[in-house]
Amino acid sequence: MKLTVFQKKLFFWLFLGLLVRFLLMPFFAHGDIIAVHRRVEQIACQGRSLLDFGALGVHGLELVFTKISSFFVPCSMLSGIQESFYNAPFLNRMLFFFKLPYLLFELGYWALIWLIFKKEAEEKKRRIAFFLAFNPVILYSVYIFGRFETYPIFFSTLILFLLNKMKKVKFGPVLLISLMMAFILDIRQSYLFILPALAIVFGGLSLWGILTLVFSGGIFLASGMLPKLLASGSKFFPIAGSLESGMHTNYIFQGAIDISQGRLIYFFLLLVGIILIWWLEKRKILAKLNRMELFSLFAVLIFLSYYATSIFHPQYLSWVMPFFLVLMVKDEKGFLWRSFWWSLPFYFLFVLSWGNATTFGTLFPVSLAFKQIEPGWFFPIYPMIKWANIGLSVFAAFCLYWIFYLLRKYGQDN
Amino acid sequence: MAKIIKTFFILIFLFFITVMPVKALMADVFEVNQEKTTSVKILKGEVYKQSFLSTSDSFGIVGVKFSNNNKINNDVLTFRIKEEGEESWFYENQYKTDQFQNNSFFTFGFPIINNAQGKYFIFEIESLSGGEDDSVSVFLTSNDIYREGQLWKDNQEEEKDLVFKVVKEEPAKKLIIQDFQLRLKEDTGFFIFWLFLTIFTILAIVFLAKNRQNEKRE
Repeated sequence: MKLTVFQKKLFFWLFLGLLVRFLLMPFFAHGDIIAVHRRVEQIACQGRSLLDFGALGVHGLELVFTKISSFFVPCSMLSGIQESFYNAPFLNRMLFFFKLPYLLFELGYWALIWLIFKKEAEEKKRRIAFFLAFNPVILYSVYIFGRFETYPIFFSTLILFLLNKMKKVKFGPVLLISLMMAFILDIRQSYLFILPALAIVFGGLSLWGILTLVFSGGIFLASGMLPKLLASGSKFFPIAGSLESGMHTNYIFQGAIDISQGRLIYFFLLLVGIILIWWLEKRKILAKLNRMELFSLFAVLIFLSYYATSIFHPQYLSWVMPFFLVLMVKDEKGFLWRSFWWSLPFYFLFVLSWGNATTFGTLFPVSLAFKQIEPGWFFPIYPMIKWANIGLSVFAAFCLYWIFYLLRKYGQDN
Repeated sequence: MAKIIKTFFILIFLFFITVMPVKALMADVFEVNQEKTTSVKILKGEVYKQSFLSTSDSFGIVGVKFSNNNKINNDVLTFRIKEEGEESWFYENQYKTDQFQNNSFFTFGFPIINNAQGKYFIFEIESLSGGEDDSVSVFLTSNDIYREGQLWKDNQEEEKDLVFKVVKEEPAKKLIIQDFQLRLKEDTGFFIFWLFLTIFTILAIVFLAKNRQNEKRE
C-alpha cells in the first residue's frame, strides 16, 4: 500500500506523538500509579483475591497486563514497590511497562477515531491527528501523572464507533453498548454522570432508553457488586456505603449555595437539570442528529457542567476528550478547536493547586530531589493556591461558555 | 517540523529557567526507621536523648518523626545538639508544636556542622509543658536497630532508637545527576532497550519527513 503525501504527514505527527510518549513513560509518575500496582502485586504475586479490593475493572485489567509483562517485570522485581513507595529498584522499567497498556489502549482510541473520521476533509484530519498526538491533557494525565484514563477513553470511543455505525436500534448493539458502558463504570464510577446521555441517544424514557439504563446499570452493579456480595456474604450493596462516605463521585455535592436554613442547591445538578430541560424542549430538533454526535453532545455538556462546578482531579479532564473531539470536528466555525488550546494554560494553572505532587514531584522516578521542589517558590505576589484558583476560575468560564455555545448551536432549527 | 522543534526547545529552556534558581535541596545522610514503630507521648519534663555517628563531612539538620495525635497541640519542645564529650550545647532552640504535622519528620535546623565525619553527636528533645491531652508523640523503633547510637529517656538507657534522620544541604543539580546516574547503573539493560525504541521512532519520523519532502519536490 503506497501512502499519499498527506497520509505521510499524518503518520509523521502520530510517530512524533509516540516519541513524546516514549520519552515521558519511564521518567514521570504520581504516587497513585504505585498505589494501584502495590495492590495488583498483592493479587498477582502474594495470592490475595481480586475481590479484596475495590475498582474491579481497573485492578482486573492491570492484573492481566502485569501477568503478561511478568517476563520483563517479574514478581521479584515488582515486590520492590511494597518496600519503597517512591524509590523502588528498577522503578523506570516498571513505570514503562505499567504505562505500556495505557499506550496500547490509546493507539486503539486513535484507530477508532481514524475509522470514524476517515472520510472527513484533509484539513479536519490534520487537526484530528494533531489533537490525538499532542493533546496536552492526555499527555499529562496518562504519561506524566500516570493514570489509566485511556482505558475508559478507549471504551467510550468504542461506544461512539458503534453508535456511528448503528442505522437502526437493535437489541444486540444496544446490549453491546450497555456492556461497554458497564465496563467503563467498573473502571471509573464517575461516568455514571453521563448515563442520562446514553439514555437520551435511545429516546430518553422510551423502551430502548430505559433498556440501556437498565443494562448498563444492571451489568455494572452485577459485575461490581455481586462478587463482593458473595464474598462478604453480609454487606448488602457495599458500594452504597463507599459512595456515601465520600468517593470522588461525591465531589458534585461540594459546589452548592445555601439558600436558607441548610437547604442547598447543588450547582452541578442545577446545570444538568437545565441541560435535560433543554433536551425536553429541543428533542425533535436533536432527533435529527447522528447518534454518535448526540451522545457526544450530552456527554460533553454534562462533563463540562462537572468541571465548571466541582473540584476534579487533573486527570479527569481527559474523560471528555473523545466526545469533545467529535463536536470539534463537527464545529464548522472552528471555535471549539481554537478555544480548547486557549483554555489549557488555565487548566495547567489549576493543576498547581496540588503543589509538588502534580508538578515537580512527578519527576521522582528521575530523582527524589524533585519531591522537594515546590512550584510555589516560583510564583510572585500571591500564594500559589491563589494562582491555581485564578486558573480554575477562568477554566470554569471556558466550560460554561462552551455549554452556552453548544446549547445555542444545537438548539437552532436549521 | 522546525516550529515543533523550536517549541520543544523553548519548553526545555523554560523548565531549566524555572529549576535553576533552586540551588540547594535536602539530602538524607541516613535515616533510622523501621516498618513497625510505636509512638510515645512526650510529657512535661521528659527528655529523649539520642546519639549518632555522622557519616557525612557536614550536616545542618536533624529530622525527628512526630505524631500530633490528630490535633493541634500547644506544647513547646526544646531541641539541643552537641558533639559527644563536649560540655556545652552547640545549638539550642524552642519550637511550638502547633506546627508539627502528623506522622511526619519535623526538621530541626542549625548552623552547619563541618568536619563531622566519623564523630559522634548527641541531640535532645525535651517537653516544656506537654500534658496527657496536649502533647505530641515521638516514634521509637521496636528494638535497638541502630548500633552506632544510643537512646536515653530521662537518662535511662533504652533498647530502642528514636525514629530520626540526619540531613544535609546539597546543590539541586548534584543531587539530581547523582540519583539519575544511580538509576541508569541499576537497570542498564532496560535503558538500552528504551534507547533503541526511542531511536527507532526517531528514525521513522526522519524517514517520513524526508520522504514527504522528496515527493513534494517531485
